Amino acid sequence: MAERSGSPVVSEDIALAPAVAAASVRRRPWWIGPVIAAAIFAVLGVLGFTLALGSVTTLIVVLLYVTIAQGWNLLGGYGGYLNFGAAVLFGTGAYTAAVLNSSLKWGFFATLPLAAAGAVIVSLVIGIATLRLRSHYFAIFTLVLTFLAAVVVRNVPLFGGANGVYVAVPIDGNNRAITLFVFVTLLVLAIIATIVAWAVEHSRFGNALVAIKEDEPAAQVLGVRTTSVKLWALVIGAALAGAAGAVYAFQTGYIEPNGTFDVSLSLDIVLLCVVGGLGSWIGPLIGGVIVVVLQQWLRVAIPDISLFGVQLPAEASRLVLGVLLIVFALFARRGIVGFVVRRRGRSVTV
Amino acid sequence: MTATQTGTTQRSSPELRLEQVTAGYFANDVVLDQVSLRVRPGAVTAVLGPNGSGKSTTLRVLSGFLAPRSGRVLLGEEDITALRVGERLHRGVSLLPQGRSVFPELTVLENLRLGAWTLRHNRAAMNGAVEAMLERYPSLRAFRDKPAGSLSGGQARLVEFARLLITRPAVLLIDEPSVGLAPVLVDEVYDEIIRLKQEGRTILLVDQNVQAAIEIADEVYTLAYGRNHLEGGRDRFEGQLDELIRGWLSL
Amino acid sequence: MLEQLLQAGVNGILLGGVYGGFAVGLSLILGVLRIVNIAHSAVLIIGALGYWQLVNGLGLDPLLAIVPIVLLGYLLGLGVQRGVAHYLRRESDTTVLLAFFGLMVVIETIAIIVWTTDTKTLDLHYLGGVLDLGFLRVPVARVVAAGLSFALLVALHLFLTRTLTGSAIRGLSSNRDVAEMVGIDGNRLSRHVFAMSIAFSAFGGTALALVVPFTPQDHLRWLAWAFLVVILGGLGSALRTLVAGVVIGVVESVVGVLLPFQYTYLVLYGLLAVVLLVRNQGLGGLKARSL
Repeated sequence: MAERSGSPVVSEDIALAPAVAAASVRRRPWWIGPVIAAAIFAVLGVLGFTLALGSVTTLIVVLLYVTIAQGWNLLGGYGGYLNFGAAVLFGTGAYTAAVLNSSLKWGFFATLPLAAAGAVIVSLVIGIATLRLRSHYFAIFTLVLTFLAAVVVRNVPLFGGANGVYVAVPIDGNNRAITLFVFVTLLVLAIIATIVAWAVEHSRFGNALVAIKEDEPAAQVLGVRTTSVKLWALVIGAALAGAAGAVYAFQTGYIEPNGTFDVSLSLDIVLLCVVGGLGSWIGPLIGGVIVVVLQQWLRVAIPDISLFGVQLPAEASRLVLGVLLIVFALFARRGIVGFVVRRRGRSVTV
Repeated sequence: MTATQTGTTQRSSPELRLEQVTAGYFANDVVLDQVSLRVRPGAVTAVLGPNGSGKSTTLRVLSGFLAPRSGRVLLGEEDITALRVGERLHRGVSLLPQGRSVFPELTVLENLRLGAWTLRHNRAAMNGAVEAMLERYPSLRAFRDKPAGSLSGGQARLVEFARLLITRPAVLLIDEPSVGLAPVLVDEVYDEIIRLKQEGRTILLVDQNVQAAIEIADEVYTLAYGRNHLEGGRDRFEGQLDELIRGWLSL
Repeated sequence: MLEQLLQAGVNGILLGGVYGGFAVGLSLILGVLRIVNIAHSAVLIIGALGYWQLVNGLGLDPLLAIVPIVLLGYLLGLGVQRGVAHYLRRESDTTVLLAFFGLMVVIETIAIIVWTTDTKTLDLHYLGGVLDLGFLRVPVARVVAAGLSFALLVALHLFLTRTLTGSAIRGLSSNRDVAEMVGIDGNRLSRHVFAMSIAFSAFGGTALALVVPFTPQDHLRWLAWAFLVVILGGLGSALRTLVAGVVIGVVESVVGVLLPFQYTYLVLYGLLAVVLLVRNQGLGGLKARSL
């Protein structure tokens, strides 16, 4: 444990010390994580080119979720500020891309950065309003924003109202070509997102986030610029979510408010980070694969199950996910990564 | 001040003892290590020591906020180690914590009534107890309806004393009573403690203000690193203050 | 125009009373127990649905049917607190938030499974109809819902400020250690405050059902309103919650008259953001939680 002197001049290093100490005591060789991640991506890549189209769509969902989740995890997992409105940032990206495409006929690669930017702007508005407060208010505010986003979009003609917006296909070619194009784009995005997460975890920025989660008042007092750190984490997450949204818009070709600003998406992202491992760069990757596969299996299996002679409705899959979240939140907070990597080092409270 | 207003029960106050208590907060840390002390009735027993020696923890164990890992807390003949805070209050063990402990958003009167919470099933007794405190500290009447958070340090301390005594406890645990008070009020606080001693109560005083504590104490214990260090009557420590403090600084 | 505004004003006050009524559950649990109950609106909607079931399904009297719903809410609250408290007690805020988020999803999904996503309108029986005062027209059900909410909030205020138990609750939320020190059984009191909060939320659901049609899918917007009332009114005072509710109700109604209907949401959310910005103290700093 770091010794604290009585000296009044204390640097940021001391504030970040616990996180650094915790991070550096891991006994495993540093390359195990990256190797596993690379292996997962490699497998996904190969599967994408070999499986039938229907399965590739599932892989696309996995990559979509991983991208968003890696971004979410920065503020949520490391920083402890749970954003229950991931769908809002995702939807902003989707709508930005869709509107640019349908109104201005912009192509896929042109809209991508702007979609990310749009999500970033929205996230800044949210962040400036709520990140100076404690994490509870951020959580509630982001949760209720989903509703507002849907209302705004429904009522502004530019955004197509309730009818939604149509998006032109990104490339010429048959169904398979388009799907593979989307798949590869998302693979690249997911890899970038994972690298970003890895980089954050091994940087002072990441340590600052962890310090905020462990004891925010202490971190503040000891010099960490908490508001700015939180905002940056939110912004990075928003950029990734927005980019993912843009890809989603082009993949489905048509977006409308209810499906895009759906709390289910927020739930999925939160769940997969919790299951995979909050505050770990490889968590969202593992969680993404597991949760999406689980969802697909549930979707298929549930109609065949009948409980007490009554057919289970489709929504039962959501019920399972909700229960899973509660169970993991209470009993397996560190997720699957937490089972595998036992963290050493106690948190030091001032 | 007549005998009927002393506020103690007809029996004499019991003795309070810590017997070989080991206690700590987290899984492995040891803040008190086999500490024993005896708090006699009708006397002030002071517990002194440098920062981190375990003084506050001693009070936590005695009042019931912290369960010891081993050892016992005895009230008279009764082993009260397993009793929680409220139950100890029923037995007449009352704590005056360090710093401000009034409920700031509640009025002085509400603070007092809550102090008499354990009497709530007998409204007459409760009202009587509140009235008795207003009699004992008449200046309280003037600000009985003010929110306790708006009081000055001295006024709040008065409320805290009233709340401490409202259930007529025989055993008083007092934690750093003079911290944060203006010097003239400090004298009044210690005068009040002497008065309480004269009423026959059993008093344990934890204090940073070594000089003042030794002046009014009958028995003194010192702790070092969570263990018993010195103990003895006041005469043993009087005039040796400088040595004592120097000793602590070198620990 | 003036007539319209007056009508809107009255509507707003009544609506605001209802808002206060269903926000007070959140205010209690957040203010006294420091639990961020994001499942609050899910409880609201279950209350509304249960109430609907009793009134529409079983044909019960709408006024009488409120009682079993509130009672059930209280009992459920006691049960949940007892079962869940020792799991959540030493957990971090993140864990509690996550668990309650999961709970919200579970409750909402159960509601959808049992009652589907169809919009439900309460069968008002004898509470249907409109009070026609010439220049004002107010639905009877709305007056009843608002009246009950007002009464409940005033009663809560009196309870908290005039009774000893109410003082104990306020003391508990102020400084739990000191409250324990004077002999208050914090666990037992917390349990009942939790149950009260759930009961109030259930009542909020019935008031909601009396006033508007509802669907389980849409409950988050009520969380937003409740949150706004709680932020605006501050924690710890039933009267301020009531006033905040009325302010919001009036703003919503008046804005609805002056601007096209959809802008009311924007205005209210904007208000929420502004209030959050202004109250950057984080609402008096939430201290340690009591479960």
